[in-house]
Amino acid sequence: MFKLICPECNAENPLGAEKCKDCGTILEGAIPEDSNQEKGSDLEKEDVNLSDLLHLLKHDEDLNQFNEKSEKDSVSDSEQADIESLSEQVEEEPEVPEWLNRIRQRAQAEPDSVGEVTQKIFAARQSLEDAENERQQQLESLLQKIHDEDEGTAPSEDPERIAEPDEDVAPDTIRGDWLRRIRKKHRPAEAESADEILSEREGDSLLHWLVALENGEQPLEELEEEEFSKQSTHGEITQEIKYIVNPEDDTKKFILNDVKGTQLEAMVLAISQEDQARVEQLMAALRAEKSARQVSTRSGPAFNRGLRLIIALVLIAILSLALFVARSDARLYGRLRPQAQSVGEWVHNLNDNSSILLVMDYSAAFSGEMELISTPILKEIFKTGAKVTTLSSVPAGRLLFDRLIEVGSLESRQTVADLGYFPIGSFGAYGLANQITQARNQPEFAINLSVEPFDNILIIGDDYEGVMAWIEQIHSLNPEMPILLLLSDQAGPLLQPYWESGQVQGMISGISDSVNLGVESNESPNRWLAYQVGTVLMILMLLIGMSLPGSRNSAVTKGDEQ
Amino acid sequence: MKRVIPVLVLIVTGLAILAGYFFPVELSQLNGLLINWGILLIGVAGLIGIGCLLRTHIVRVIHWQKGALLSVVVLVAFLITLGMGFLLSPQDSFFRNWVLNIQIPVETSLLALLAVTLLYGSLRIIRIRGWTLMSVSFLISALISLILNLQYLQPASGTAGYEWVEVIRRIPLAGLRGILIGVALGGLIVGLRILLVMDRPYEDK
Amino acid sequence: MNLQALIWGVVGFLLTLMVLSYLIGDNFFFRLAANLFVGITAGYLAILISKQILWPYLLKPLVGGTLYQRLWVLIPVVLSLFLIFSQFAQLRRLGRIPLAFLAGLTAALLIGGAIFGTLVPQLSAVVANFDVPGWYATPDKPWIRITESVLMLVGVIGTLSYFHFGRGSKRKPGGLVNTRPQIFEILSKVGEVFIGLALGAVFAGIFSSALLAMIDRIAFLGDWITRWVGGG
Repeated sequence: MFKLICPECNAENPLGAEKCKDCGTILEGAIPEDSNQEKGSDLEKEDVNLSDLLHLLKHDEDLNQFNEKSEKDSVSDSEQADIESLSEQVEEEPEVPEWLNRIRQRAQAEPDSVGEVTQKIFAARQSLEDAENERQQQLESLLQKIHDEDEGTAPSEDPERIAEPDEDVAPDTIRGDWLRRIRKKHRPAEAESADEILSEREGDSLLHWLVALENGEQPLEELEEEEFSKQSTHGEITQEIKYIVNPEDDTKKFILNDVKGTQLEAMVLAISQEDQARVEQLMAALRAEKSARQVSTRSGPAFNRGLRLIIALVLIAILSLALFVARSDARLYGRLRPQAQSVGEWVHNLNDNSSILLVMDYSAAFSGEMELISTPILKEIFKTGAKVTTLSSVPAGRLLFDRLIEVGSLESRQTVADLGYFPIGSFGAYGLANQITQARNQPEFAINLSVEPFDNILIIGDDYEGVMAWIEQIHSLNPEMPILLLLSDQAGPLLQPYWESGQVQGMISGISDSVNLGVESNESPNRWLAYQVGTVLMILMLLIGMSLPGSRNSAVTKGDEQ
Repeated sequence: MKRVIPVLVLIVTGLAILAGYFFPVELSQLNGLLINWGILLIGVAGLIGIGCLLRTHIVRVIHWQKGALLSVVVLVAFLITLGMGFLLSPQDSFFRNWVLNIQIPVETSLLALLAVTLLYGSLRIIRIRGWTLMSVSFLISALISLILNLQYLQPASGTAGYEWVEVIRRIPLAGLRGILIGVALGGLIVGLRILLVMDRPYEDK
Repeated sequence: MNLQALIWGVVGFLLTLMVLSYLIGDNFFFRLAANLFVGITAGYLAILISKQILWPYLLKPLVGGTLYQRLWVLIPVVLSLFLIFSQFAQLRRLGRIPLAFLAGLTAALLIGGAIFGTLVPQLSAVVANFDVPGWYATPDKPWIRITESVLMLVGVIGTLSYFHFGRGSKRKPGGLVNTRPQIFEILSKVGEVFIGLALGAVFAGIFSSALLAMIDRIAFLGDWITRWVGGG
């Protein structure tokens, strides 16, 4: 089984490990070795230990650079797992048939016998080379250095063992069977047409040989018993692919020297069909990783801006027509929703002795909408003579209240006191609720939120978060305190559950509730008409959007969501 | 030791406020005090934030970087408002007009831009999101809510139409309630993580 | 139209046009209006905090108060100074104590508010819907109440399931695999529908508010032009 030997402490690590499990050294550049190899063999003693060499070279600047760069391109976990499984499966390869044996024998004799494999590997390598030429040159020079220093070294292990040929099978049968198998494998549809295969696969000398054998042009040679000298020999197929014959195991290993930045550099590939398939798969995975991702193209920004401008102009035009040209005398006194009805009933139940805390929790952006919604209610409240005290949880709260009074021409029989500004709503709400229940022992200079408890709390809000904080704190400490809400359309939906659960005694949200209250106003009819026109425009836009054909982006996004 | 003190402060403060929910009368004075201090600190933090904003713009003006002219506008507006606020009172009508007559047009116009953006976005919802469960239910609900907002559907009370309209109005309530509960759960978890010192937002990273 | 109203009208008119010019594209006038807004808001906030919070409740007792009053505000003064000095790099650690105080305060308010203010009442409301005698006691048809109650329960559970992430995903050769129980997957699909329905209602609300803002601005512009042209 192959293991990575740590150059520092010589500990065995699994194939694909990035760091040594004992000392933590980075295992980049470590060459896998067979842990089952008998140690102390003469060959090993005479060899220059490649891992020691790499360790020495680590201090060299070139190797440091190589390590940094190759670290970035280290294969992913899945590929390492594949590499590991590849080496394990190679171990388990069953007995090699005799026909394959012959091919391998021939392969030893011919420089381009790997043929198709070489072509595919070259193609894959070419694509990598195009992307990182500089690193390839550095790597080649470094590995050439290693090879020069390591010339004559005994090889590390070859996972594959060539089994003894099967002597029971008759030669004639062998010849017919294995040739037919090979032809079917390479070109199943045209297995009979050897000449066609030959012409298309020029340069593939192994296949030429096989076809020549079948046609009888080449005599079938007996398998030679190879007598390997004790010393291993190594040769070179191409500059990038070298092979080393190990006499002890009768194996031949091919070493790829310049697959850049990946751990394939250190791998020893034994040529079998399964291995070829895996190498191709791995190369395809590497190519896919390095290929540029498809950029989603959308319509240009100028088009989008133009479309938005057109929509804006259409909206402004129709709203202007509705506001200034159309005359709407019809009053829409629709049915009040139950929550709005409760507010009306609450107002009617107020009297001179009622005390209301008015919490201003809306910003200047919603001043127009809140003036439309709040003015009728405040007018009724002031008519009853109830005492109103304001508290702001927004900076401009009191200013906006004063504007409400001014715009709505509201007059209060009593002076409206102001408790000031509290930066965080929940702090103010907790403090208020707390002080309603506390003993009156606070010093006079401390922030006092109330002198007397309030009967009711009326919150005018534009956003659900601030109002939610108030409801939570008040309800937690004073569940009996009546809370009523005047809300913008934006905040209404998310606060409706509080009305449903009974935490809030009434709420008016949006202009539609306000219009149904039936309070007279000079501006209401035209604004209501404009609102209806704008809403119809939005409905049309939604319907048009639904009927437009989807773009490819929608398919991409759907895939992303899944 | 240096890290223990903030942790102790955090835990004691948090537990005191939490206990106030269970013993509101007994702990009202202590909690009132803590809340007062909290409001004061928030005020100081607000001033520090304004100071940081001003520092950014001052640096930009001093080095005359890109956008320095607009930074001058910020600083001048700030100084004028500050001066007016100290000389006049916040309740003065001129000061109120100065603040509101700039805040209201700008903020309201920014919100008005949102209307255009939403109109434009509604054209592209399906093109971008595709026909998914959520996009379809979103569109249907938006259409129904907008149609109901027009107030044209006003069936008489007690009729089947009225009941159906009410049921349709209340269907989104389930999702809204779920969202509220989810938000509350999220807040609860964040609060617990802070009190159990699993998160330390007060430490500089 | 008096002079003050005229001047403020002109200011509002110009600012509205400057901000709405963003429809054409980002431009100098839009940024000018935005920066003016920032400066004025910052100034107003500084005035408000100083005059309404810090001076009366922190500085005045410290400067002009009795010993008792000074002791009373000593702790917030010290914490405030810590907060101010923490802006300097060397003294950054001083800021931990006041920030820890605020964090503890906020965390406790979050927890208390969430539990007693939202979770308990809202969950009780979901359960309270299943009041069988109540279904038949109201003038509404019972089937409506039953349907609503069931929808509410299913919707709430589905929505919460959609946000339930539970156990982490396991890494498998094909990629990450979600190991949520199947029932959660089914409920989350239901929840997806209800969330879509809820968000649609929220979207309609947001658009309504934005539309009203646009109507308000157009009404203001038209009204001002009418007065200016009409000399009113």
